[in-house]
Amino acid sequence: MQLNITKDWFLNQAHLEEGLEIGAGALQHIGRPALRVVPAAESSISTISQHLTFGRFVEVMRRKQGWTVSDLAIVAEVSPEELLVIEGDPYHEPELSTVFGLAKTFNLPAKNLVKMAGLTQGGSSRLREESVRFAACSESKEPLTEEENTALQAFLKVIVEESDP
Amino acid sequence: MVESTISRLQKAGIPRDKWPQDLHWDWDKKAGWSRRFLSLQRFAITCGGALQGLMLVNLTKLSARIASQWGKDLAYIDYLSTAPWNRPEIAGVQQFHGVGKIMVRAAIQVSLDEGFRGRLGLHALGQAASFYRNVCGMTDLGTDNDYYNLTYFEMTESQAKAFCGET
Repeated sequence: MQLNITKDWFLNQAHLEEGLEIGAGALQHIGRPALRVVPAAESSISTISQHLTFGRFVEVMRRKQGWTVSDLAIVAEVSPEELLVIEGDPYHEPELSTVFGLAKTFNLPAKNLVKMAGLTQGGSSRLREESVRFAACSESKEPLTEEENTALQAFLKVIVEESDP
Repeated sequence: MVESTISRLQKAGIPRDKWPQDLHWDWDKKAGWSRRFLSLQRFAITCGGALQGLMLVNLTKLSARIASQWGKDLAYIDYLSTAPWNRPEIAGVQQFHGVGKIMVRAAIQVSLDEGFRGRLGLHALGQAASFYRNVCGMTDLGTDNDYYNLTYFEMTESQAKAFCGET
């Protein structure tokens, strides 16, 4: 194994862990095989579901415009890498600035998009239900199917119309 | 050193849940003890004539849990720690910084060399969660009830690139 770490990289990084614990691993299990693979903690399932829905929504909105991830990144002035992660990783919590950039690009209320992305608590039950319904109806195919387009239009209507109770 | 540290912590009135969680580990015997596990890759950092950090990497223990890389191989950090004589809460000073960063960087290299694209997994001690979440940029998958209630973290390919400064 060849490890190429420059002195500059190391000097820049070393101070970041000053005073922090770094311990990992439980001695009792070292070398033993087969941890039972389990999903993330139950308490976070709701958040994961929101991230998943938000990612699906961003993907469909992008495809509706006929944009690549790079295209959307340029228009929304956000990182293409984060867009990729938003669309593909339900464990990723989107950056607030990214959600605002996407809201502006899609001409949607930022506040509702922030709730949809799971960055704030609350939001109406209608928005939550429609979010899940939308995500469940959309599949990752190109171009948008008629069903996806219908689901998207219905969901867009909810996002625009829904206001705080 | 451990006994004197415990005594100092007790005298200072520091509650047990705030003590270093691996305080009881027998550091002096770690290197020799790990030789029993030939499947593990072992890493040590020495400086100033003393051992400063140890890491054990397992390539077969478990596969990825994040949905985007579910089931894919990863390099699992079975154990990582810095020496007690290099930790301010024990020795009173921290002579060297960066042991954790350089070890994680080495684990990423192991993952890359194995074709695992930099993917990593580990169970962090509770007091170390901040390091893996905020300094290493890994994804926090929450408490693992099947593994001593430690917090499970995973690093994706893109997170590994970011860690290495490639993005």
